[in-house]
Amino acid sequence: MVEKGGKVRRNLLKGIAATGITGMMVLDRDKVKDMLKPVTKEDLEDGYVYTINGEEYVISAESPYKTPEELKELAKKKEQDAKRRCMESAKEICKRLGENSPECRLAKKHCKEIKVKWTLAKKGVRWAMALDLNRCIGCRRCAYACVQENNIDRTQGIEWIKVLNLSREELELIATDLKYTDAPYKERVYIPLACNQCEYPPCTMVCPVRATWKEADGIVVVDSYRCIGCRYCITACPYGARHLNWKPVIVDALTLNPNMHVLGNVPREVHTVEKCIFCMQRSRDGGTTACVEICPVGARAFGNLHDPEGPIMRIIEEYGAFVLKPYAGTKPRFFYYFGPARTPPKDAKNPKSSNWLGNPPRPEEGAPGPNVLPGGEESFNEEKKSGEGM
Amino acid sequence: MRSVLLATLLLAAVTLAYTPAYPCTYCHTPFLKLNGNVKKAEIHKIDLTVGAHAGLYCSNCHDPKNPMRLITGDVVIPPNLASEKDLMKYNKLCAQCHPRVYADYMVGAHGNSTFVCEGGTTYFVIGYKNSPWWYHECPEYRNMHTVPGKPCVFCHNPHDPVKPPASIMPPPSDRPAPYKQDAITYTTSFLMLLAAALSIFAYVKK
Amino acid sequence: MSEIIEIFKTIWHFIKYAFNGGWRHWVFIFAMAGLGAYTLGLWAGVQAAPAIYVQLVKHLNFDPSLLKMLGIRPDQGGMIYTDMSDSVAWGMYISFFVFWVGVAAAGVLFGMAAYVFRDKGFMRVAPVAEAQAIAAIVVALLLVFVDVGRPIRTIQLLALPIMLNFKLPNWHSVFDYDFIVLNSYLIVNIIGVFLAVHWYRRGPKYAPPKWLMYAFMVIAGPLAIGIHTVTAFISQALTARPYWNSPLLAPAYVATALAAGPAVLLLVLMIAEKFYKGYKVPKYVYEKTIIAATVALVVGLYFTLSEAQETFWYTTEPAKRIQAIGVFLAPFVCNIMKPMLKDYAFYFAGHGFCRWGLPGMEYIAILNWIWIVLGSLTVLLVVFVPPLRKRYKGVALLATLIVLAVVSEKTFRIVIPAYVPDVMGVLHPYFPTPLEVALTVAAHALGLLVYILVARPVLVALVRHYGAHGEEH
Repeated sequence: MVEKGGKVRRNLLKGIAATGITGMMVLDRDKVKDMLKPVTKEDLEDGYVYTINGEEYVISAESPYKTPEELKELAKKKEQDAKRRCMESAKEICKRLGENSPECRLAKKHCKEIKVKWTLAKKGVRWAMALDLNRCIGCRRCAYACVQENNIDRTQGIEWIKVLNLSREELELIATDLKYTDAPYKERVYIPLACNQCEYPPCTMVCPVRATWKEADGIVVVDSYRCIGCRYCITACPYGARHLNWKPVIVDALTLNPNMHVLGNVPREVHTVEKCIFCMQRSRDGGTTACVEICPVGARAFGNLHDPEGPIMRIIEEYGAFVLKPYAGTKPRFFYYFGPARTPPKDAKNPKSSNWLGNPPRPEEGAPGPNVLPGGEESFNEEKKSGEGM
Repeated sequence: MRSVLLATLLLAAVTLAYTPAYPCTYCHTPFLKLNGNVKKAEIHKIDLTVGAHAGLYCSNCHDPKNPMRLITGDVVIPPNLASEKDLMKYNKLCAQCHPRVYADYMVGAHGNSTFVCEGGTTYFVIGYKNSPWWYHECPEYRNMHTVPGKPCVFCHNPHDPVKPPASIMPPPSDRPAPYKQDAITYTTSFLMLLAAALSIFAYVKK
Repeated sequence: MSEIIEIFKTIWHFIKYAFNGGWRHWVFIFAMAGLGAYTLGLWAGVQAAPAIYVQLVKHLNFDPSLLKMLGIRPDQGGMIYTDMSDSVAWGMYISFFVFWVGVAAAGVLFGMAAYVFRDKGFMRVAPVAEAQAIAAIVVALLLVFVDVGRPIRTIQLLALPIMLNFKLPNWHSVFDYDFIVLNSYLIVNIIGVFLAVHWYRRGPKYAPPKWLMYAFMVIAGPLAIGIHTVTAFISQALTARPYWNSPLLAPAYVATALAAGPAVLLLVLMIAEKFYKGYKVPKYVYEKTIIAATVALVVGLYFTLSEAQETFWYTTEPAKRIQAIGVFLAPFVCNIMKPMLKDYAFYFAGHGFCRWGLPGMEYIAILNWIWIVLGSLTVLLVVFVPPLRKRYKGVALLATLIVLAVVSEKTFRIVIPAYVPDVMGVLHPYFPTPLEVALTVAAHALGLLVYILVARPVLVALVRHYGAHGEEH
């Protein structure tokens, strides 16, 4: 009996030894330690710094393209591909409408003008956006201007910005209504939602091939040439900000925006993910985003979070701001606030006056206020007397 | 140049004040002064007894000695004739009573921003779902400058400043429904049934 | 030198006996091969066609004329033929993937039990369990492969860097670890089956050396639990999906896996006994396995109960609760549930909300209650009706009930409710389209094909080693 037990123990030990040795060969302690550390924004700002023309640019350590030359190569490839797809579309338009039609000429012009830039992130910049919920009227112009600016495939119904319609009393996201046809109403608040470019983005943590990462200036980008369409990032995003191209992407030369950025709004491929990229084709070169530009009530503000003369810091300090789903801990860079003045809603009683709610007028001097009993002072004393009698 | 014209055209459409078609000096120099009590101007179809500026009189903003000028000294130019630069001059008058909003406006937190590029043109496009978009055409798409979008009076008629809400655009879209796949349905169900029948037959037959 | 010859002989054994069967064997092989080939063709030609075209022609500079000849065009096809959307990102493929990884996990555990308890009856069954693990992993890997949007790129950017450079593209992503563990488990099981057959085929006196088997068990045992745990870890840690965001997901996965895997194996063993004369499994193996599976089933039901309490008792968190309402609501529990449903349940279900689940997604609630009812029924039958588990027909019935119950629980009911309603409160209903059914069938057919091709040589070897008849019948 003892011998048998001894043999078992020996064999078991041999087996464990074999596993242990294999394990030590395969695992790398440092990598394991690295993996368990949370990624902080200081790590991201501390990427690879390049000085070009006197300005400091940073490439995030997370990016699979570590040098500007690699990005430039990628941009050239994407530009070739975009031009080819655009020319195919232009040829079709010219065939359909005639070589001399204005549409054909415009289409060809757009194709020639395509520029895929690889502008890097400037050091010390953190892009953020703020939105005044009192002014937003839920008109959706931002959502559709975004579609036009970013070469989104219009045949698939992808829209990066969705405008939620919640009750003013309780900003409960489950009760949202996206498909309203009439707005704004006085007990509703309209919340446009797109990618929040979180500081701790769950989507970049789960991508199995590093097709999406947070750039050094805060923008979370997707490289359409690396995405494998597994939809793990769509599953992980708490804001529903990411979208997949479920069918082959159709490029329309007439509505193409030739201003493109290699990691941004180059027309995507089938079965790859896209999302709001804070119009990096504009913002990184000094411009402002399409949604900010088109808002008819000026509810949106976009700028560098660290800029003391920028709108975001002023809004946070002056009005205070909140973010959606703060308990998710993702630390979004899209701030919502209730500004000092509200655009009068459709069902306002006096839309042209400052008192558009139609509150009852204030009483004149000397008249009793609202919390005095109808009987005047006498009833008050009576009640007091009866109380004293107790 | 084109963008300025477009801007003023839109401003004209938006503003409600009516200006007669002869020069202001016809009435305003040297006659027609204001006293401190005036709130209506029938000829200009301006009524300050209603609206958000109901607490004001004409002379709060217009020089009583010469109503063609504002109290800041700038000349009042009718919106359909004024350039954007002229209209921007009036911002500092609005700032007198609305300093907080003006501070917001100067950093870009109130009203839109837009951007300009050297040698570029801006087009106003009505596109996807009939909604607007500013299309900027620039030679290199580099070296852009963000500028405040509009002067105060572009959105706020100074005599009726509350800006009513614009129309809203259609509801959002979703991915199209799955395409018809009858051929797939029929062939796959047929093959599945065939495979199942064969397997059951192989199982059951002695 | 003789060892190498023996290895070649084992390989030849596999090839010979995989195809040396009667007409039934061939009918089944052809049926599965035909179905699998056609449906895989549907995947390549309909769902993945534009992705394959774009990847080959644009990125790998292939000549497009060949593809055009095959009918693969860049502007037709795509995942638009499925019903998945940005709201419901994972559908039927991942649902069945979860189930089959579970079945695979249970395979090696049989072998573990056999070697730990030195039970002769179970040792006859262990290699077949390993063959089942191989087949189940093949099904799971095929399902993931057809689910991914860019399959060729997945191989380029995920499989090759890991296999050639041991470099994980993203250390944070559990998908990478899942890839590693599933493939390792597949290799380990192939080695295990190979080892078993390598010695067993030579006769009763030959057995693999004990230290090899122990090493194998020490690696394969934790790996078996590991694959299903890693599969659960993919879903479990996401803040965005409150329905999954609970540490209970991994244990629930493993518990129901340990019920379904053995049940599937029992059904296969009964078929094997019927058609492969000479292979006999002692009866007590069936009974003990059913009891073990039932214990796992009890644990699984317990976890469901725990889920129900956690989401409905005090929890005011609306996202979690509305997703659970979609799973648990049924007409016959409406009265109990009414006080636990907050106001916004009306938003989805209307005021007549005594219905199955959420509108458009009734089938999830139905599947949930099938799981609970069939699971409890099985437990009661096993405990209180002993004659049932002592007879072949009874065991067949119980195993079928277990499989049906776990399929109901582990497929749609565990994957889809996390997406309905989605993170922004949008209810986008999902129901699988014929294409999705076809591709799922493809994976199943090819898995069954692999199963029968591997299991037959294993059975031959087992009979040679253990003799033509078992100890008792």
